[in-house]
Amino acid sequence: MNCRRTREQLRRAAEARAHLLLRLGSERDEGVMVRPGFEQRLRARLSAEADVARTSAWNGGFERLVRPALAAAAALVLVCAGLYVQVAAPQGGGDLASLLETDPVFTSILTTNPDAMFADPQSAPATDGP
Amino acid sequence: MAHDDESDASLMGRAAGGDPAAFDVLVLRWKNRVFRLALRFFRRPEDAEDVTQEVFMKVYRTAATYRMDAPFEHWLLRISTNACLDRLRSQSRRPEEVLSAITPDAGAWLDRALGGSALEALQAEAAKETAAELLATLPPKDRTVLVLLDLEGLSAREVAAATGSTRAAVKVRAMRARRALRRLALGPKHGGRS
Repeated sequence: MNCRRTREQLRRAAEARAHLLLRLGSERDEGVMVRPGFEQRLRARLSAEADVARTSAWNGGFERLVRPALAAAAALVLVCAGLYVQVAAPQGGGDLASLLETDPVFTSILTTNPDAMFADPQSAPATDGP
Repeated sequence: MAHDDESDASLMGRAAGGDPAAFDVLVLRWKNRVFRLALRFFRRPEDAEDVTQEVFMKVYRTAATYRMDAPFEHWLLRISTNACLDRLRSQSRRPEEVLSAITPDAGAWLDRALGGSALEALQAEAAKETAAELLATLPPKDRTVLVLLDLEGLSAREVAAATGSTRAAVKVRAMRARRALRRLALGPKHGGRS
């Protein structure tokens, strides 16, 4: 019986301490009030927020117009670049592969004619002339 | 024209219709109530005022969603509770970090304060500071429920409405929070503070 009573007393003491901890950590003066000028500060924040909302709405509208225009311009640039490459490419090939194919030294190596490597390209015999 | 004796619901109706004078009367009427609630959670008056402003900004923005049949005080309490919870979450600190920062002196002063001993003003202030830091280790929603139930004197049903919860959930949360609070209050001997 005594043991139960002691346990109950300990539990109550612990609860009282816990409640006191809550009170101490959350204590505030009952009569405390906000600093004077609260309404003015609130109004300033509200109008600042409204300004931001207006600006972001304008920016949003601007973005809605500009983004598709930018995308269309980028697509147009790509199409133009493709067309230019197609039209301006040299006939017969001006690339490295075609240069190698028309080079006499490289041709001689390919046809296993090493003497041709040292021959004067200017005095090379005419091929298959009429 | 808004009158000081006009009901909150009527003022809200006007505010939703864009009447700034009606909103001003509501602010004047309720600002200190919200401020005092915020001070339960934030010791710095600047923080409490900031939360109070956020509450009224929310009231202004969402005035159109207010239902006239519900008491304005309940609606305002819900907005205030959410604003406090949001800030508590953003300021939450790890318990180990808080507990390790408590000096032996501060711990001793808090123990004496919790034991009912009288303290000098500075020591009492330090004890309150330490108590607030210990409360900051509780989960924000647990702490909010305890403050509303035990210090603000709200019923479980009112707390449930303010926190967007059920009565049963509030009771379970309160029980769990009280257990955690007891551990904190008992100190290192009982595995609470270190």
